[in-house]
Amino acid sequence: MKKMSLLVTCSFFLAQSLIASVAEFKGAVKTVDISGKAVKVYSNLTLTTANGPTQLKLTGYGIRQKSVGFVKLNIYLATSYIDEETILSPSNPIDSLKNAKGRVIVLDLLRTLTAADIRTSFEEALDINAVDVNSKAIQSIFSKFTGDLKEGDRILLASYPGERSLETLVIELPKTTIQETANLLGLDFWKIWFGEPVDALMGELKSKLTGGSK
Amino acid sequence: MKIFLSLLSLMVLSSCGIKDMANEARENLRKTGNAVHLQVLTTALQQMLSPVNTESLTPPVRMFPFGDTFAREGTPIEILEVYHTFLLDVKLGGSTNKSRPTSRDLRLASRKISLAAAGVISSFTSQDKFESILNSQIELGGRYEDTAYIICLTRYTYLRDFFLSSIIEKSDRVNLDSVKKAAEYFSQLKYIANLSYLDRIVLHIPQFVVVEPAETEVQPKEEVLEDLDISINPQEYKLIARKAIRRFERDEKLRDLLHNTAEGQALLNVFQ
Repeated sequence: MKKMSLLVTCSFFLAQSLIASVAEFKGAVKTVDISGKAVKVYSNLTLTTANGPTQLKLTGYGIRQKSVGFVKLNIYLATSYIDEETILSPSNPIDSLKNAKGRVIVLDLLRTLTAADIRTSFEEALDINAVDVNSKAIQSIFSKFTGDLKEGDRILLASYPGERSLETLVIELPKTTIQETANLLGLDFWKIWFGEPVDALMGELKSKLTGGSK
Repeated sequence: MKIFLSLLSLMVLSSCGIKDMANEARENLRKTGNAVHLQVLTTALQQMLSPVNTESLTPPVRMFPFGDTFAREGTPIEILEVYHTFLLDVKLGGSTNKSRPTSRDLRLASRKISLAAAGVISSFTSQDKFESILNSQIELGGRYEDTAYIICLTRYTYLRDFFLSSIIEKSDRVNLDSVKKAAEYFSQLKYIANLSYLDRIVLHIPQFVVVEPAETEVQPKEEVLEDLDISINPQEYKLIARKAIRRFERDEKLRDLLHNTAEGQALLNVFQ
């Protein structure tokens, strides 16, 4: 009977650890209404990692739009958080993010996308920022990007530092979680939103994420 | 002698008749050919603009087959003149709503359809006809010089966003044949991106883009209109090339073909 109870308890914790997100939202909540779709934006979150819990604050949020054949499409609402001690510089955000103890970006999808769409757009933004998209860690991440993502789905990216310049990147997708550790991996991914913008509309989002909207 | 002269005059007279008949038949054939030509153009235009084919404009796929027919059948000047008309509608169409125009305004919808039609026609025009338009209007200073610049822009945008992206972004499987097609589209893009007068290729359309309501707190919950300003980034095609190669090399079999065959190498060189 004791064994049975232990097994049930272990299974419960294992299941919880598989389901639970590394981020727990808290603080003041604001409902953002985008063309009739309501998305909640929280002022703070707790990032729980191997380093323990880290308190993060909202830096900004904005809509990623893409111009396709002269039409602007809403792709996702991006919300950015960094640890409370780091001060994000709007003029040089990547430099100011270098020593962050925790970073989170939440992407709430405003339209249905394929994993290939996301992979291609991430690759393009990494490429323009001189990040080696053929590196083992990045290829490993992309190989796990599969399936379609529906409007309303959420992608959460979290990164935190390890020893020396190693950084762990966690990507939570609706059905799977991807985790990789590599040299400055998190910072490289943050260049998608805070580095050289891939187009003018990404530039507009960058200014919102660095404090344009709170 | 008399008989000979009679026969000769008879032959001359009858040959004149045959010649007239041949000329008449040729003229009739020409007229019929012209009528068929105009009918093909008219039908293609009518079908392209029919409500059922203009319901969805992102992308305007239902307009594609008719745009293709029009661009194949039309001469460079015919393509240019129809394109010019569409562009006038887009730029000068304005709004019938004298208060505040919204996306519910039918004029705006009509202007968007005209821009889509212009995009479709310009992107389906063959490279030869396209170059002929640029030569006659820009190099030699034609009546539609301003329009010729905008043709470059809509052609570039449609080739990039719909034609090339359908292969390098949207396809589950890419093979040698699709790489060939992608190379053709890419060459056409590169040609435009390297034009010496790229700085003159700018499109400004007043009150054209509908901005969807963003955050409730920031904007009134109402659609607003923005001007559309577009130009071509001369460096962009290099990024597109790298994106294309990344996509092709994702498939192991295709990567081998591209790197280890003469045909594959030649295709890769297009993207270098």
